[in-house]
Amino acid sequence: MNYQTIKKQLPTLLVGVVVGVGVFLLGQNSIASNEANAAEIGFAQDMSVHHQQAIEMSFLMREKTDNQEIRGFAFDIINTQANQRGMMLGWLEMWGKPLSTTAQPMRWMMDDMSAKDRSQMTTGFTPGAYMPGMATSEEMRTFAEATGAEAEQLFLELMIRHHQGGVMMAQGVIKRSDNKTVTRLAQTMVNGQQAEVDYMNELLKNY
Amino acid sequence: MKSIIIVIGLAVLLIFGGSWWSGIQKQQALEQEITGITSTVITERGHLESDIEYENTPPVGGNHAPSWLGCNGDVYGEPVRKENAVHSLEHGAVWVTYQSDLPEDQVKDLQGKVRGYSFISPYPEQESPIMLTAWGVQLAVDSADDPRIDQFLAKFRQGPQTPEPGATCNAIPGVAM
Repeated sequence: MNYQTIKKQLPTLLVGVVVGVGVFLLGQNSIASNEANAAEIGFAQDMSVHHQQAIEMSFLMREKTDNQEIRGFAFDIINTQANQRGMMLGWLEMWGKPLSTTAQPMRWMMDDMSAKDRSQMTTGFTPGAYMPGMATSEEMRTFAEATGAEAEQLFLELMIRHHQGGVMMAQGVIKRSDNKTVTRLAQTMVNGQQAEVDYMNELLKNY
Repeated sequence: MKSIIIVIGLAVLLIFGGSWWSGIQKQQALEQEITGITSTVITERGHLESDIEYENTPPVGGNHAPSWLGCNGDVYGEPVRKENAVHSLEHGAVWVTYQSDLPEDQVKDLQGKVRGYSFISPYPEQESPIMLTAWGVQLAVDSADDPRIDQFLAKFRQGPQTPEPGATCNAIPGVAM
C-alpha cells in the first residue's frame, strides 16, 4: 500500500477507528449494566423493601426508649440497612431495571422450587406478610403503639424473625447467582444478620 | 474491498485488544499485594459487655463490645478501649496505632492521613512503632513515611474483607466513649 492509497483511505480508516472505539466502550459498559438474572433482580427489589421495614422499626424504637444499648443497636440497623438498600437500588439502576415491582414478592426464589420446598418456605411466612420474616401491618400497628419495656421486647421479637427471613432470602440469591458483587453482599447479610439474631436472643433474656 | 477489510480488521483489533488489556489491568490491580501484611481468619463476632482477650496486639477482629468507636477520621490522643475499636473494624474501618514514644512529627503525619472509615490512637503495648489494622488484616511499619501506609488505607477502608458492608463509622449519638 503506497502513500497515495493510505491518503485516499484515510476517511474510511478514521470511521473504522471511531466505530471500533465505540463498540469497545459499549462492550465495556454492558459488562456492568446488563448481566442480571431474574433472581438477582428479584432479590434486589424485594430485599430493599425487606430492609426498609427493619429501618422503620428501628426509627420507631429509638423514639420509644432511653435504653442506650437498644438505641445503639437500632442506630446500627438504620445505617447499615439503609446503605445496603442504596447498594441494591444502585445495582438495579445499573441493570436498567425498575427499583420496585408490582410482581408477586419472592417469585424469584419460589419459581424454581419444588412444590414441597415452596410450601415448606411459605409456612415460614407470617400470614399476611409479604416476605419471610416481615411484620404484618397489624403487627406494625401494635408495635407503633407499644411503649417502654413492652416495646423493646416486641422490637427484639419482631426483628429476630425479620432477620431470620432476611437470612433465608440472602441464601436464596447466593444459590442462584454467579455475580460476585451480589453474592458477597448477600453472604455478609447471612453472617451479619445471624450474628445479630444471636445478640438479640441474649438481649431478650433481660425481659 | 481492501478498505472494508482494513476497517473491520481495525475494529476487531480494538475490541479484542481493548478487552484483553483492560482484563490484564484489573487482574494486576487485584493481585497487587502490600508486602508484610499478615491475615487472620476471624470466626467470632458476637457482642460482649465484658473485657475480651485477643490473640493479636492490637486485635484484628473477633467478639466485641456492642458500641463501636467513632471511626470517621476520629483522632484519639489517648489509648482507646480495644473491645469498642474491634467493633469499628467490623464496620470497615482501618485503625492506625502507634507506640507512645513515636516522634511528634510522625504522629501528626499519621493523624493527617486518617479520614473517612479510619481512626487513630496510641497503643503502648504494641511491638512495632506503627501498626495498621483492618478486620482480619494487619501491617507493621517503622515510620510514618512508609508508602505502604497509604496503600493499606486505600485497600482496606471499607475493604473487600469487611464483614458488614454499609455499616456506619458515625459514633452512636449520645454514647460517649
